Amino acid sequence: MAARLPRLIVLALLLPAGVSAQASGARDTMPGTQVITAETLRRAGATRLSDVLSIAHRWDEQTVDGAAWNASPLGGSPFLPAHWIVLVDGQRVDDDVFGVTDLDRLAVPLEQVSTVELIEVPRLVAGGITTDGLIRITTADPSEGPAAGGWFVTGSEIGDPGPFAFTPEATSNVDRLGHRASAGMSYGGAGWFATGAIGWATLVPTDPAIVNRYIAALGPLPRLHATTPSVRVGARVAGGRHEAVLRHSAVDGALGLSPFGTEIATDQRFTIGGLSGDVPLSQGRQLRYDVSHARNQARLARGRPGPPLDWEVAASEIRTEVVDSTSVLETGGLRLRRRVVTSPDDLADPSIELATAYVMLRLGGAARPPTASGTITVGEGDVGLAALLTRGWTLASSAEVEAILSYERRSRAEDNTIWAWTERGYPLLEESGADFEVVGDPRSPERLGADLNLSARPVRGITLWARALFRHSRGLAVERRDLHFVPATSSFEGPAAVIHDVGGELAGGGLELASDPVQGLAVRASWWVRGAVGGDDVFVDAWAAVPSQGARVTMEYVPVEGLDLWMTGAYRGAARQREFAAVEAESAGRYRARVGDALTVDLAVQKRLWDGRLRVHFGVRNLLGAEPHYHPAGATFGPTAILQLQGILP
Amino acid sequence: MLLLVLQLVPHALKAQTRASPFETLDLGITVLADVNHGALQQWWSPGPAVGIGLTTPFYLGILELGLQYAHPSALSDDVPGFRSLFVYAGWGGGRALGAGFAAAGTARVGIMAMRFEGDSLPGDRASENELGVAARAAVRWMPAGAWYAETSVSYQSILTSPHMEQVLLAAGIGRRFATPAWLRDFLD
Repeated sequence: MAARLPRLIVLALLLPAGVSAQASGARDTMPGTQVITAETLRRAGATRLSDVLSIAHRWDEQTVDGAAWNASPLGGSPFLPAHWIVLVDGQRVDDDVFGVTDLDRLAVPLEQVSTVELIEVPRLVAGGITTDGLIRITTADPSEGPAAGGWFVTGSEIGDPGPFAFTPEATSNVDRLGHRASAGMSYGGAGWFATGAIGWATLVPTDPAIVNRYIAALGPLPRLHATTPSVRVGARVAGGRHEAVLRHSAVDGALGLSPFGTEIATDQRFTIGGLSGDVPLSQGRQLRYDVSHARNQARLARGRPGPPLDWEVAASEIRTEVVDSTSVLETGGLRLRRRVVTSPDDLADPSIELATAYVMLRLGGAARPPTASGTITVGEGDVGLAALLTRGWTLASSAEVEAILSYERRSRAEDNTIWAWTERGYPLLEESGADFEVVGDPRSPERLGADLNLSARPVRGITLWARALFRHSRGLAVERRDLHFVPATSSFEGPAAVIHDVGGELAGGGLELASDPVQGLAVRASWWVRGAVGGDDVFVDAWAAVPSQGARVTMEYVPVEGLDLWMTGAYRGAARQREFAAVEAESAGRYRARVGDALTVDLAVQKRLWDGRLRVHFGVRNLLGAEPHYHPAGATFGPTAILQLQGILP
Repeated sequence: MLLLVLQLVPHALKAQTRASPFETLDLGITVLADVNHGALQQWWSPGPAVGIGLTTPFYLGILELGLQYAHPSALSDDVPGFRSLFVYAGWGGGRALGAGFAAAGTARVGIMAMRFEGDSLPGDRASENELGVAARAAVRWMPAGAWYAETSVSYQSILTSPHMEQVLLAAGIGRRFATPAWLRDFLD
């Protein structure tokens, strides 16, 4: 996606294919979990799936190119590789390319999304511990009968010279059009459904901070193209639910690989086919399964300069678990994974095979019993472990406290960074002449964690959450670069190193207040703080590059049925990336090591017409005109106006 | 201007006790003249503009939709003249002043489409569009019946670089219609 898409004035015609995704009102199912509904996504003017990261509370987001967003919950790692777990309709999906995970490559049609649940506290979900966050996307089933539709988005950026282009006052023409479009069909029958959609996007990076790098990578008229077809069928059989999906995304754009200091013109393909569902076994007991095969490719675009990237991963996964809400053994499951890499460079060991067994025990019969969870992952001569203990107390009728202790030891075979593959023999860095070194001996990263969560309803209509956490990490691999500015392409060069066995301590906390002060109005305000409180210099330096605090206020107001108002204010603290200190001097301050704090305010109003068949949405993002950016070399986001028109076929 | 709008809105609320949302449609036509001297006027003579607008009671205040057409002419041969169409939506409030007079204030947001004149212009430079905002204060005289006369002053800024800023004086007439039931059903 173009880095400055948020500055676009967007005109959208959106015709969802009979989707019944009319969930309303945010509902958080448990502390540390937030659920963003389709209605909230519409009110906020989301135009792509990754917009959910900018709506969520207590998650810090970051981007360099404005296209792929990384995000981390309060107690998770904000560094690449991203370790979030992504579930789409109960199926684990992973489009990770060397540690970069892009939600928009999952080919999940935005108009089909019913809810997006974000979990930020350690839980055992789908065979993994969610300390680094979990994003659970649930799509809506089509309504009964046949339906078809589509949507279209186009825009133009604010700040064109207009008629002044013909005068001596002419400024550069920032007029760039990008568009998104999608078409879909669906049929809902008695106990079954089928739906298909295809999306397209052509987007234009124009942000002055990154445009020269994109021109160097993609040519004089840089464009990013994406095509995302998907098919989903489902049925209810004998009380169970079964779904089969086939999703594909083709993104011709650029991939930022940090050792190279610039973006690489890359054609990326991601295809996943899978089957998932659940089967009732007996009273309170259920079998869940998830089988998938995915191919993930990234190749240097033909005819473009850059390192000879040619990478394909075929990942197969089978996961099955039994859940019994009445038993001591509440969850027990097995997850088998096989990852095979295809590359012109013959790797000595191109396949990785892992097996994970996991259980969750309910230690008592109370309403909030203590639980113990554990996972063990074996394969490639290494063992990954995770253990989780939770205990809750009811302080009063309206207040609860939960304590969580966690231990995680991640198998090194799960490391998908360019550094890990270099150590496994992938010669891309060497062949392309990258200046890099590996410092220390790799270890399996370990993390001890303690979380304390408080939820209370001090008065009717007000919910308060408070959270404190501590993390003690060892065996981390952290990347350090000594960057210098390359004026010709506004890019960076210099030696890169991965330093093993880094460790340190992280502490953080947060507060959140949710209220429904008057009918139709929902207000949520949150604040968080986190930072390194100990550790070696590399660990402390790394965390200095992460904002130490943030805050967000969101208001959703429905004064009358069919009229929706949205407001969000977000504060993001300052951060400093030490490796850009030399760049700051060499670029005469154009790229600064310090990323300043920023306060942004977004407003939107939405009106439904013709009994809900049409929707008009107008929003302004960054109303105050702040210049937030998320990385010293990254895109900035100026004031934005968004206009959407949506039509919904009956 | 925003303060003026906010001042007027509570009174508009009272008016809503008589006029429910979308109950009436006011269709007006106005002629506008730009009296500003800014970046735009250094290179172009804005000339008169003509506007057509619809106003209807909203849940809170009033809602506007309208078009404004102009044909600025170049003041030198170095720049082309152009035609512009500003399509906007607005929201504001009104207040009865007595004797058939009423005051209103609105804030508008819209998109100005521009087409430049000159056969030699390449296709990608022949047209342009940009976001614009405006604030407007108006006085309306509606002595009896459905017809009214209106005069207004508005500040309009098209967010080009630099901004095209205009101060527009306007006069016009209009007529109030009862909104057809099908249209009310559509809007509500």
